[in-house]
Amino acid sequence: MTRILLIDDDPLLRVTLAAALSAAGHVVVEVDNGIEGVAEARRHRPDLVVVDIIMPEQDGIETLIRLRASDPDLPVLAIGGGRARAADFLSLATGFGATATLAKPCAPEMLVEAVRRCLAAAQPAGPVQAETV
Amino acid sequence: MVLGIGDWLRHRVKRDAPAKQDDGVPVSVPVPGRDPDTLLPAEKRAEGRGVDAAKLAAAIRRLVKDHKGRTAGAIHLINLHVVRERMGDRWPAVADRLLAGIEVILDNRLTAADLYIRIEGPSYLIVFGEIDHDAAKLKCALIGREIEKHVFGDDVDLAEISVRASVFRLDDGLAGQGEEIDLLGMISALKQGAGQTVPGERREPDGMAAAGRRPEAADDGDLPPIPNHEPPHGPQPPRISYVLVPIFQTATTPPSSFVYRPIWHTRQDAIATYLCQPMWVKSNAVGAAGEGTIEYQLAYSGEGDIATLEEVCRTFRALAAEGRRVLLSMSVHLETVARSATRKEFLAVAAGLSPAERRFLSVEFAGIDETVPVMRLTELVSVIQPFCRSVILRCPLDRRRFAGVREARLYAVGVEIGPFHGPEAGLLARLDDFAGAAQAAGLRSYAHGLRSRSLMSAAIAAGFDYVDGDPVAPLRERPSNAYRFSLTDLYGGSPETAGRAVA
Repeated sequence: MTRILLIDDDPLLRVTLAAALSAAGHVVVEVDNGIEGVAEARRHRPDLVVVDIIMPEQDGIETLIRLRASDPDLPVLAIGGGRARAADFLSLATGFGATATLAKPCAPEMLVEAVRRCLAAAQPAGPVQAETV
Repeated sequence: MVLGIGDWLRHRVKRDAPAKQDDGVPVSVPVPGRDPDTLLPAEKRAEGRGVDAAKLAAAIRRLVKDHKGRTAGAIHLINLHVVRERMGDRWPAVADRLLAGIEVILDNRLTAADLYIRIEGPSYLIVFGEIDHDAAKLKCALIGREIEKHVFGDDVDLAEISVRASVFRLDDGLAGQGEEIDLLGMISALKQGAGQTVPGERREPDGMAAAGRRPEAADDGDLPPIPNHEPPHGPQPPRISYVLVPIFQTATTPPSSFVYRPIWHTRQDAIATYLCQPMWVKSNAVGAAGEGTIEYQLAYSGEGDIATLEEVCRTFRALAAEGRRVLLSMSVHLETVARSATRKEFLAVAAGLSPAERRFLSVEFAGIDETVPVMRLTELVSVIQPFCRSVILRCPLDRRRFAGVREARLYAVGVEIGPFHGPEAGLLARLDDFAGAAQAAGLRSYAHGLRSRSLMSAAIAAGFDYVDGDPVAPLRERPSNAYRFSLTDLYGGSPETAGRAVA
């Protein structure tokens, strides 16, 4: 059973995504901002982090950078979308080391599949390749 | 209380200074009566090694002699002992990092004419070689704020440290009052002290390239091709980090000075426009660091508008003399153009702009709300349009109807975010809606004063074409050159450097 840290400031979306991940058998820890997300990841290392990109106070890119700084091997799935230039930020997340990215809005099963691929890519058997789902 | 600076210097020079240190690294002076355990690691290293107090004293004496009325200031770190106690064994490493960060900021902010030393655990004494008392108060407060922001940031471990600035006049004596008392106490302690001090003469880094950015870039306008190498030779504009605080009362005096906001064209990946901003510095504006120190005018000031245009004219000429060319922007209020007297004066100044300069000027209308009819707006635009490349309109963040703006041939609409729009969480959707409405009307959009990376990224993702704020570049006393700046640069330039940038 994998432990997933879900960081998203949108409560409705966060609950929806958490429900989908829980239904897929993951343990989900939810936080609503990047600052708390980084602190939580340092307290209890998750198996994977799902982080929204556009968030107040500390956005997903900065959160990703901080996560990477303290734990370079931690798999991170960056999600974003619904805005004019969201694609640019997904690409940026890849550049800053996201294991994978996922455009929103997405069906819950797409998220579950993206998480599965992310976790598989993070296995020591093979190199981690950034990919856009 | 008056303490003769000459006495203090003589006392300092007479102190034992057994050896020389030429590496320029400032070390601290153990102050009498102070618990040695509270010393920082660097201070402990300084103990027992020789220092060159004479060099510092000579430099300060020279400043005092040659520049009557000059000023000194100090930056104090408060509550250091609380954090030290809490951090225990981790304290030495943290303290070194803390001091290094502070001294980088001092290096960046002070000029070759200034001196600074660390004299207590830690407080920094700065002697300004060229600026007056008010400017020194401002600069000290800004330095203090920058230390809080960039060195401590959101580091929970250091959250209890605060920074305070104080300033005194450096004439024939130290005339202290009110806020200056801390510094006087520090000087007094030095006068009685048994320690030595090493000179900390520092120079401003050469050029703005110190920010680690690629140097030059094209713009969306008709800027000349800019080579992909270091900025041209010659003096580079100093970087400053003023804290802008909006005021809504009409200024009754001319602006004290001007600052330039570097504006990032997010789709062109370039900073090539500088917004000229008049400012009013209040004499009591400097208190605890972290508070606003410069006021800028949101309310109408015809005198301010005209003075700003005059400043823009001067700047165009200065840039031309240096062979440089960047786009400038400035604000003008509805009343300035609507009232006959101020309009005449404004247009008389504008008439002095050469055709080439007009192609590099953008004028922002302020104070025009939705109740102004399209015909009237069109008329106002037609007054200004001949003197610039584009006319843009500053709006309230919650405005959504822009059809009339487009009809009046305005180029863009924008908002001023600044410190007065509340928590970020409530801003993101409003930024989205504003940019979406502007785009739907066929207008470009801009956002001034975005105070964090998260607001910056939200604005860019929402579709704002132009943004500015501290995360992109600090305010400047003069426009710099155009240079490339991309989304990657917002986060430190590369995965390798990003960690330092966001730390």
